[in-house]
Amino acid sequence: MLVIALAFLFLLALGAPVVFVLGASAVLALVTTTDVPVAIVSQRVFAGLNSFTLMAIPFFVFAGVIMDAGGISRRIVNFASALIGWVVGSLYQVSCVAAAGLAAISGSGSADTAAISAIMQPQLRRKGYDVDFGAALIACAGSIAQVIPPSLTMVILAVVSNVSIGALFISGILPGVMCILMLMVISYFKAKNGGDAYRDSEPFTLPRLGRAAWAALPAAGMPFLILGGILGGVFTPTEAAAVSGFYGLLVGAFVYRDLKLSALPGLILKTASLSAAVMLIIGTASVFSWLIANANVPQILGEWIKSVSSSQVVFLIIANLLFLFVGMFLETIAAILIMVPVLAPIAVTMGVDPLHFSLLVILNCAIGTVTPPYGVSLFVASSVAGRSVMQVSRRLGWPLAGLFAMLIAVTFIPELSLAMPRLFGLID
Amino acid sequence: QDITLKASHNANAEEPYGVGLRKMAEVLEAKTDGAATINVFDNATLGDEMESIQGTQMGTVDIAVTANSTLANFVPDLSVLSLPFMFENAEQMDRALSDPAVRDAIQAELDKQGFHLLSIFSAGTRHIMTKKPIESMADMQGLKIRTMQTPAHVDTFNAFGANATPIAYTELYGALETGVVDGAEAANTNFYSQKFYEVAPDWAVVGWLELVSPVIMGKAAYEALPDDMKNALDEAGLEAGKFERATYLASDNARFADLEKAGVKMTHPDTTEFRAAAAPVQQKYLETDGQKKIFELLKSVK
Amino acid sequence: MFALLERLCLVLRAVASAAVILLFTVMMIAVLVQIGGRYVFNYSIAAASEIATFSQIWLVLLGSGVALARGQHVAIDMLPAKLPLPLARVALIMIAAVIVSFLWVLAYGTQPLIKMGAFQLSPALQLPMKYVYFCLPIGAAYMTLELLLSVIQRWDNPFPPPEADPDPEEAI
Ligand code: NA
Ligand code: NA
Repeated sequence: MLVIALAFLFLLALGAPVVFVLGASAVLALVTTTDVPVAIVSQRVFAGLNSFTLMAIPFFVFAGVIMDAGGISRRIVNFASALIGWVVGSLYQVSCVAAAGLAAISGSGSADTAAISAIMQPQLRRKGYDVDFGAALIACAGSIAQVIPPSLTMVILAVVSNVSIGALFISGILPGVMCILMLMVISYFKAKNGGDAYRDSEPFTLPRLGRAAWAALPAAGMPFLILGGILGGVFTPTEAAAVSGFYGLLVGAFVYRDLKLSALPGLILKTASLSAAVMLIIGTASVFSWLIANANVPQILGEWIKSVSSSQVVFLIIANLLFLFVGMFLETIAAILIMVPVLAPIAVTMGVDPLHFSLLVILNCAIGTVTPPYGVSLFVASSVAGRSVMQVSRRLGWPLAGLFAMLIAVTFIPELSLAMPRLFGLID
Repeated sequence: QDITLKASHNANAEEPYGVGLRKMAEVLEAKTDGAATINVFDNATLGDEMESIQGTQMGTVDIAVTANSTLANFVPDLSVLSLPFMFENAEQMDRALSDPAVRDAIQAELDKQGFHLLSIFSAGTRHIMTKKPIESMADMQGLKIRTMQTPAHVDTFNAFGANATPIAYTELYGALETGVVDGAEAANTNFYSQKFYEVAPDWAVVGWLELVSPVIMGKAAYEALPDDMKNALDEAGLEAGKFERATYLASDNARFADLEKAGVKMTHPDTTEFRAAAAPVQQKYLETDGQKKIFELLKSVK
Repeated sequence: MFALLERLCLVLRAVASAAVILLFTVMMIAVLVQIGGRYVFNYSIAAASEIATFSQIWLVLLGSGVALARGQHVAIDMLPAKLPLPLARVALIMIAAVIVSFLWVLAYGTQPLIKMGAFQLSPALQLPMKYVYFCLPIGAAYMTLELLLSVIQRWDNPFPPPEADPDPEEAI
């Protein structure tokens, strides 16, 4: 086991692509610790990709690519800077607010990160912002899409841990919005201590705002179309990703006319290779999660926790640490499917409210998509920014600290997750 | 223990699949004086149904519980078992599945693709959830109903007058909530445990399908076991099957009370017209001699 | 020899790129048709989401090869970038060896799936699943080829710093 862990870290440090480090270490673990045939590798990679809901990733990446190429992102950012351009570090603020808006529309953190990155990164770069910090910030803000409803992760968790999906959705609103606000505060101070790049020279004027708003109007239709389409029962969140890509294509090509249709194949190819790189990781990570399940790790863990302490606080701390650790290496859904059936029953016997516990899991999942070495949001944000994971990771400190602060608050103040569902009469 | 078999299923540990497999383990241990046992992996941690079926051939799992409609993708003639109104009700299904001639016919089909039949579990009687009450088949007209992708199920709901609609299972709750679809079909268990009643509170108790779930092993893996072990395993399978189906029936009945308590509005439409609409679908999917044979055998058990 | 490999690789890359563009287009159209059919005409095409999902799997396996060519697979390459050239070359070869071994396992392990895929039918399309499983060995083979080419091309500068799209709007 130690050999495998060392091989994993060695290969990672050597600069091998993460997707193959995961795959190769899984193969090594498989042949040295089990007598399971290697065919399981192919089967799990296939299974990891054989998912309709996963399609939100390429579609949202496409939407982002097309919005950028079609001049949509430029107009949205123009509008945002006309609106709040006088605030220090406005592009960071816009990134956070846009991430929150998208979070309320889609259920996938990685897809949101991809969309926001594709829209904002070129602007950050153009205006001379710290691109690495921007990528770290967008990874964190994008990951909150799992906390703010709707959320695919929440649906899966609610099913596994037997809590109401509706109540879980509502319980995520307050902590999710607080996470975003926290990130805005942190980036405000980051920008305030930065250079002139963070101060937009144009002052706030109403005519400028009006012009920017008019130009952004067709683009601004996108969120309404998506939100209206989902809430109105026209399409599912996954399908909404495809619609947003298509809408962006129409606006870019026929309204703004910034997009030439001859450029389309190149944009699709760019979309495909960007999303394939992310999605293949989901495939190889699912080999790993199979190994962990096969080795009965969850059961052993459950018995260990029970033997340590019967205190609720101690349990919550252990559970958080476990999830953070697992979240560093595992894919979100795999982490839930493996860990929650073990921990949720213990939480109940410890007297933790199931809804409170579920929200902690969701927050941990969101954080897990940002923490290196394996985090889809981190990878997406880095790769769209064209920066290495290491470069972006070094700027993760403050944004991640903000999310940790929220995690601690939600852990010790159950009301943060329970007040809203109670207000709506979803729990007693 | 000398032999530990890995069993995979996709439900929670305390649901009938998990209970049935643990019963199988218990009987097997008793019959072999602890020389053999079964390690049960719940919640599809070793893979979903399709992967578990493959796993029995690849040697990655030993025992798989699988909804018949999934297994029928590997063994087409078994599709008969998941035809609409194939069984009269859960009791007749239990009697039919206990019939040795039926089991032999199913085993004969499984033999062709290298599977061994250990047991047949029940996955419950399927009804229809909607967002408005269904008093008769006419109320189904034009409703978008999510079904499994099995062609016979799609045809069945289209024959009911509905529009059979594919939606990923993970998106079903949201799709019901917002009205992307108007309803879906499910058993009491899923309807309750997945909380679908929160967003589709009308439950038309139609029993259009008895979903059966064969429990299989890879034939090669089974043949490799010592003879006394094979016998003990088969007996454990038989016993566990009876137990699981009885457990399911009991829990299914108890679930009606839970659903009532959760505020579900139940209707009991006359099934005659549903059956009449499904009859041509049944005929359409009786293509091969194997299918016709199993169909006649199942019908002959009263 | 090298020129031959390069030419072969470029031809395959063109084919794979075209295939990937086609697969994405099919995926998008399938999903849009599914929405339109369901909402506008109250008519659902049972096979649409399966077509989209299978396109997605092929897209990822072929797209990963294209991503390899474009250096888009995320790696933590701060450390090797600091290595002196001879050591960097060793690292380059070790990485390539690890990747090729994994890809070989991936392709080899598909055998039982393809064997079963001869009679296993997909739920909606009733298509033999082997046509979908073939994406694994074919994708692995194409990735191997791209990898070999990239080792040769990066021989004198094994770990170049990542390049961003300098400005996507200008690049188009
Ligand atoms: Na969301
Ligand atoms: Na992580």
